[in-house]
Amino acid sequence: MNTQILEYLREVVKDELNSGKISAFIGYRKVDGISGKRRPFVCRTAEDADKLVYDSFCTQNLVRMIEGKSNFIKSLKQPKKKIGILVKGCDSKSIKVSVSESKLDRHGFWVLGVNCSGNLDVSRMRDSLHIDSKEIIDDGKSIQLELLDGSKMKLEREDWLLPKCIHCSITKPDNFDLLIPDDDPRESKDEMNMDWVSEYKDKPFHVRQDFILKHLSRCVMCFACRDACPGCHCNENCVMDRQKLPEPFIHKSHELKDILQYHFIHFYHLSDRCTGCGECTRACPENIPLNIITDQLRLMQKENWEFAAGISEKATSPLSLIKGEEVLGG
Amino acid sequence: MKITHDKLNELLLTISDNARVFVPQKIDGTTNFHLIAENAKIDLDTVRTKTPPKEIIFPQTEKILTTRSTAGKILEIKEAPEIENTVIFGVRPCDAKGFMLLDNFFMDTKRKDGGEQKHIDPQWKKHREKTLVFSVACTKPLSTCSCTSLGIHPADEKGSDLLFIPDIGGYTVMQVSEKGKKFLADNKSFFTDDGNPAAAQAEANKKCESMITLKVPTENAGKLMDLYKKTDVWEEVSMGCITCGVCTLLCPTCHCFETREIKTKPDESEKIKCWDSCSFCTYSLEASGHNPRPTTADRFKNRILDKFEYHVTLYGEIACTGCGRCTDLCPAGISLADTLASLGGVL
Repeated sequence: MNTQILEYLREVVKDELNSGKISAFIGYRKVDGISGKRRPFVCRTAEDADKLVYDSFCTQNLVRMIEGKSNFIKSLKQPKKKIGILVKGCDSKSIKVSVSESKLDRHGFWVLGVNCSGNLDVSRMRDSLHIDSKEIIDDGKSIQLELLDGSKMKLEREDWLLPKCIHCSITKPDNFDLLIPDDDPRESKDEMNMDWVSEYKDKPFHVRQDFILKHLSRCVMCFACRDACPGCHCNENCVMDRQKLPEPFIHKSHELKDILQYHFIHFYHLSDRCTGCGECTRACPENIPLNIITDQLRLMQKENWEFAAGISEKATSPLSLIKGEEVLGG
Repeated sequence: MKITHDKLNELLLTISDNARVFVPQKIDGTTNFHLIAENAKIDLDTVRTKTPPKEIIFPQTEKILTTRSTAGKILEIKEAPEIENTVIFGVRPCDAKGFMLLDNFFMDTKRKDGGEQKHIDPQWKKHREKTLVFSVACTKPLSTCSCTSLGIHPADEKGSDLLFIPDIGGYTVMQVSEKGKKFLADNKSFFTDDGNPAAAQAEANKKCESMITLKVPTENAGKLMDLYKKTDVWEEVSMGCITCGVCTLLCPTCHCFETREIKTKPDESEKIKCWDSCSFCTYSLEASGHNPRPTTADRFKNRILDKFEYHVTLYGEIACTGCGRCTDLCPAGISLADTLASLGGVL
């Protein structure tokens, strides 16, 4: 945990809450008794701000919370006051997509940007090393673990990043109201490093099919990938929840055909809206590598239309834009 | 009784000729229960599977009936296919206890008012009768494990037919139920007669319990109804909940299901039973369009009260085994221990 960033974060949030500029601030807090887990947290008073934390376990994309999917955001709103939110580099792209789709009023929010050097994948650490720890300390270079049996362990930080962080070089957001100063010398670059997807994309059809089918066969249809996604916006009108049709569009019969249909609806609806924030893959309780499909779709957008979701608040997706020559008789 | 690793593998493969044998296996980096096959590696290094073994006897989707009808006249009703003999090896004691808690719901056992078993789910009963549960005692916990808070121990025999306690080179076997006793008698040749199961169990409990750090505060179970109408409390504890079904679908004691009719042929339809979750916005949605639990907080409240209030009132037990899946897998980082502590704080 970088103490400088943390102190700055707490102080600035206290100031803004006291001055009445913001009515609430959405950040992260610790979860008592469990290492490597952080939880979205809403500060309403300056005292709450002391509970705020920021480190490499703050994985959730908080933009998901302010899009109006949950009712509580309305209850936080006070006249002439903004709602503050802590935003990492990758999350800030979700804000741009939401603004470009008029899902979010950018003026209603005070965006506090923060440096990110990649989140850690504690769940993968546990599953592949068969260890669990009382305490995990990340000093920016290595990870020190104190295991449940009292022994100590040291791991290379680079090896245990979340899948979305491995290929990401966005260290800072670019559409913030205030950026927490830090001493990270790396330059923030928003470039798609898609070598790993290209490798998969060039494989024969049956290899790709087998790969995705064997992983999707684990899906339990909990819809965490949909619910965690800041790009999904059908809320309670999602095709999976539609009950009013004579027969549901997709059955919850949990056969592979239903699972596939659900995921492909999700993928295609998100194809021009996915910023690669990786929330779907992180949220999946069954470790399904959904990002292999979403990143492929992003790569296709890039190759075919020179478009990437989240590059600008004003960009229009090529999938929702009809050019003059494309209009019939035009 | 004792059994070596090699003999156990041989035994499981032998019985797989006449029964479905499920063991935890790590496939593509994720450990879940899968059917055993030649050369299958049993993964007991992973403490808990992502999906609990309840998926085997309470499948996510199960056919109940097939109906053939024409012009409003029912021609034929076919019952669900026969349930095969099943053996689940490698169940953890918390998940085994989960089966007993599900028995309360599906077979009305332990009902406080009168004790008579009124409502029995035939499908569940058949599954239970045909299934042998072989538990393996835990040797190490995870940081989210908290079975001891719920009165369960890492080497508990409750809910199992046989309990396997890891030993050097194999397992010490504890015979728990009549079904387990019969199994041991039928397959005597695989086991040796030595070993002291009770002593091995006590030792395993002691060793593993010392490493369990997380406490789930259960002292307020059965008193939480006082908070029923305090909306702000539930909004606070459910903050950040994204209403996905992780905590419920992957819970060893969650049992909500719905039935659906699927037309398979012009004159044939199937009735299926499939998992539902109180986190979903369609849960308990009425035909009129009215939803008695419209908000995230309402549905979150239902989950907590169902486990720590309604089940306690009806059956005298908390419907939680402390397995830790809900806490571990929640994408929003909501912890059960945290929630109950906050609720206790405002009582």
